[in-house]
Amino acid sequence: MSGLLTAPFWLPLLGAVVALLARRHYHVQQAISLLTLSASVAIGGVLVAETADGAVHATQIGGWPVGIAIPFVADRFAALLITTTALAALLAVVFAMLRGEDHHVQFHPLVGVLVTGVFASFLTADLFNLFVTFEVMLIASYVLLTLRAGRAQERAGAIYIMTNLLASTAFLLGLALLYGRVGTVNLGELHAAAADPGAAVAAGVIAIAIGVKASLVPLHGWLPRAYVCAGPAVTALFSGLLTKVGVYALFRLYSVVYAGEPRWSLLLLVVAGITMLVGVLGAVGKGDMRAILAFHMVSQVGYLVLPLGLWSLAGVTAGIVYLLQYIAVKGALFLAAGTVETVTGTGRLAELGGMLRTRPAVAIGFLLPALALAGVPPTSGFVGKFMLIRASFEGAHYVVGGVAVVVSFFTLMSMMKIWNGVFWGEPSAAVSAEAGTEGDPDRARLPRVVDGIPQPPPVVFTPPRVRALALPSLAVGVATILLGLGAQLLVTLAEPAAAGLLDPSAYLEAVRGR
Amino acid sequence: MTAAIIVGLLAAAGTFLILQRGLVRAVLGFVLLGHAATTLLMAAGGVSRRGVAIIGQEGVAAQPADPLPQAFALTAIVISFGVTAFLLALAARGIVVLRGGDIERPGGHEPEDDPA
Amino acid sequence: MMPDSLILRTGSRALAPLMLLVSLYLLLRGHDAVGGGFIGGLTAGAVVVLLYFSRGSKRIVGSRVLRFTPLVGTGLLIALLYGLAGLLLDGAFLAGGKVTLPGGLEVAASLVFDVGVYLVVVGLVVGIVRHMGYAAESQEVTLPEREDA
Repeated sequence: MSGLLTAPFWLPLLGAVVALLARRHYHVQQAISLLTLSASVAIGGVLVAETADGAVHATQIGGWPVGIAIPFVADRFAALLITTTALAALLAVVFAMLRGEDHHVQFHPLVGVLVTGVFASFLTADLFNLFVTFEVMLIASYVLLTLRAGRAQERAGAIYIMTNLLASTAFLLGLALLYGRVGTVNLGELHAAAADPGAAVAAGVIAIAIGVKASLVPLHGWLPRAYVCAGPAVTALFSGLLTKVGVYALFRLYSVVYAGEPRWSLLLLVVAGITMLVGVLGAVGKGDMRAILAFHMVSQVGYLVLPLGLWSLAGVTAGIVYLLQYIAVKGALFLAAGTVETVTGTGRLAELGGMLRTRPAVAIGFLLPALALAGVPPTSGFVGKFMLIRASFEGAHYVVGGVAVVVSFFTLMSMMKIWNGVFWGEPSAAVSAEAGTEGDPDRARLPRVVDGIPQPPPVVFTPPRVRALALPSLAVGVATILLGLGAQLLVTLAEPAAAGLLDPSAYLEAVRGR
Repeated sequence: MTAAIIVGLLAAAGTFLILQRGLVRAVLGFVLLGHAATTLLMAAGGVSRRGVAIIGQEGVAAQPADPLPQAFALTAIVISFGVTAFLLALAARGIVVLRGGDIERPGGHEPEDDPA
Repeated sequence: MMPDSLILRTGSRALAPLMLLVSLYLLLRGHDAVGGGFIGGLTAGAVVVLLYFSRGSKRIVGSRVLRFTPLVGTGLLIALLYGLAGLLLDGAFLAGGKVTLPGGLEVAASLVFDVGVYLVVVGLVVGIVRHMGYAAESQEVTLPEREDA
C-alpha cells in the first residue's frame, strides 16, 4: 500500500527523468509519457476502489514517526481527482503528439514533472509539502508556458510567473505564521486549529495564496492573460490540472483546518457568486475562442467553490460530481479550440465560420462539451449544475442559487456565440482554405536545436491525422452524454468523498494512525 | 522583536521594488520578499533557541533549536533560487544586453543554437 | 564585459581545486552538521562560475562534463533510485538509516540522496551559466581570441 500511495509521485517523476536522459530518442519520450500517464490512471482507479465506504489509506514518507513525517493520504476525494486529472493529462498529451507541439526535447520531461506535482498535491497531508508540490507543478508550468518563442509569450509568462511567485511567498508567510502559532503543519494535528484567531488569520493567508492558484476573483487576473498565449495542448493540460489543485487544496483546508466553520460561509458564498459573474461577464467582449473559454474558466471556479459555502452533504456531493466532469469538459473545449486553430490557422471568431460543413466531427466535439459547460440536459454538466443549484435552494441560499442560474444562461449564450461564429453558416475563407494544415505551425515557434539535438521531423498533416485531432474532444463529448444519462454512477462515487470532507475523522485517524 | 522588524523592512523594500519598472528590479523585489518569508520561518522556530538539536551532544540540555523551520527555510531558499534563475533567464531571452543596459527594451535576440 | 585578467586566471588555478574540495567536504558532513547536498552543490557551482569568469564561455560550452541535461538527469535519477530502494528494502519511500561501511565508518544512507542533489545543483548552475553567459556574450563586442580558451 505504501508503494501504491507514493507511486503517483515517483512514477511520473521517474518517467520524466528517463525522458530527459533519453532526449535524443523522440519516440522513447513519447512512449514514456503515454505509459506513465496510463499507469497513473490505473493507479488512480485502484485507489478509488480501495477507498470505498470511506476507507482512508495513509503512509508516512521515510518511515519516520507520525507527526514529523510527511504523510501521503488517499481518501476517495483524492483518488477520484488523481484518476480524472490523469485522464485529462493523457488526452492533452495525445493531442500534443498529434499536433507536433511536443517537438521540444524538454516537453515530455516537463509534462512528467507537472503531473508529479499535481498528484503529490492531491496526496500530501502536510501543508509545507503542499507548498513544495505546488511549486514543482508551477515551475514546470512556467517553462511549458514559455516554450514557444514570441513577445506575447514572454510577457504572458512574466505576468504568470510573477503573480504565482507572489502567491508562493504569501503561502510561505502564512505557513510561517501558522507554524509559529500552532507548532505544526501536519494536517493530522491541525483539525479545527482555526478556532484560534491567530491561526485562522495564518490559514486565511494560505487560503488567499491558494485562491490565486485557483483563480478566484479578485485574484484571477493572470489566467485569461496567460492561457491564451501557450500552445493549445499546453493550455488544455493546464486547464484540466492546475486550477483544480487549488480547488482541492481549498476544500482540504476548509475541511480540516477550519473544520467547516459556518461563520465563513457567507464570505465563501459571496466570493463564489462574484467569481461566477465576473468570469462570464469578462467573456462578453472577447472575440477569440480561447480568450472566451479562459474567462469561462474563471466563472466555473465560482461553481467549484460554491460547495464550500453550502457545506451540506448534498452540496458537497454535487460539487464533487460537477468538478470531476468539469475537468474533462474544460480540457475537451480547449482541445476543440486547439483543433480549430490547428486546422484553420486562427482562433478569431470574425475570421471563422461554417466549420460544421467542412469538419463536422470537430463541430460535434465542441458542441457536446459546450452543452455540458452550459449545463444543458442530458449532459453530465446539467446533472452537476442541477444538483448544485438544488442544494443551494435547499440550504436557503437563494441569492447565490439565482446567480448560478443566471450565469448558466450567460454561459449558454457565450457558447452559442462561439458556435455561430465558428461552426454555423457558410464556410469562411479561413475555414475552406484550411491553411493550418499546410505546414507545421508550431515548428517555427520552437527552437531548431536544443542541447545540440535538432527538432524531430515536421508533422505532416495527412487527412487521417487531421481527423484524429478531433477525436479527444469528441470522446469526452460522448462521455458527458453517457455520464449525464448514467449520473447515478458519479453520485455513488462522489458521496463517500463528500462525507469524508464533511466529517474528516477517518482522514485524520489515518494520518495519525500509522 | 528584531526579527519582526527585519521581516517588515524586507517585505516593505521587496514590495516597493516589485512595483518598479523593469523586470530586473522586480526580480530583486521578489528576492527580498523571499528573504522576508525565510526570516519569518526562522522566527517561527524561536530565535532565542540556539542549542544544537541533536540528542547526545553538548548544548542540548539548554534550549534546542527547532530543526523543522530550518528545513522549511532551506527548501524555500532552494525553490526561490530556481524560480529566480528562470525569471532572469526569461528576462535575458527577450532583451538586448547593452553595457549598463536598459532592461525594458525588448530585443530580437533569439539564439539559433540554444545550449541549454 | 569579461576582463582578460591574468590575476583571475592564475588565481583560479589555485582556488578552483580548493573550492571543489570544500564543496565535497560540505557534502560529506551534511547529515550531522552544517552542510549538505545543496550548499555543497552551490560551492561547486561557484567553481563553474569562476571558470566562466576567468576562462570565458568557450571553456564551459566546450566541456563534455559540464552540461546541463546529463548532470541534472543523473542527479535526479540517483535521488529517485535511492527513494525506490528505500521502498523495496524498508517498506517506505525515501527510508534512510545508518550504514556501516567496511572499515568501520558509519555513514548515513541519505548521503546517496545528497549526492543526487549535489549533481542537480551543479547542473543547474552550469545551465544558468551556459544560457545567460551565451546570451550576454553573443550581443557583446567580439573579444580578442585567447589562446587557452
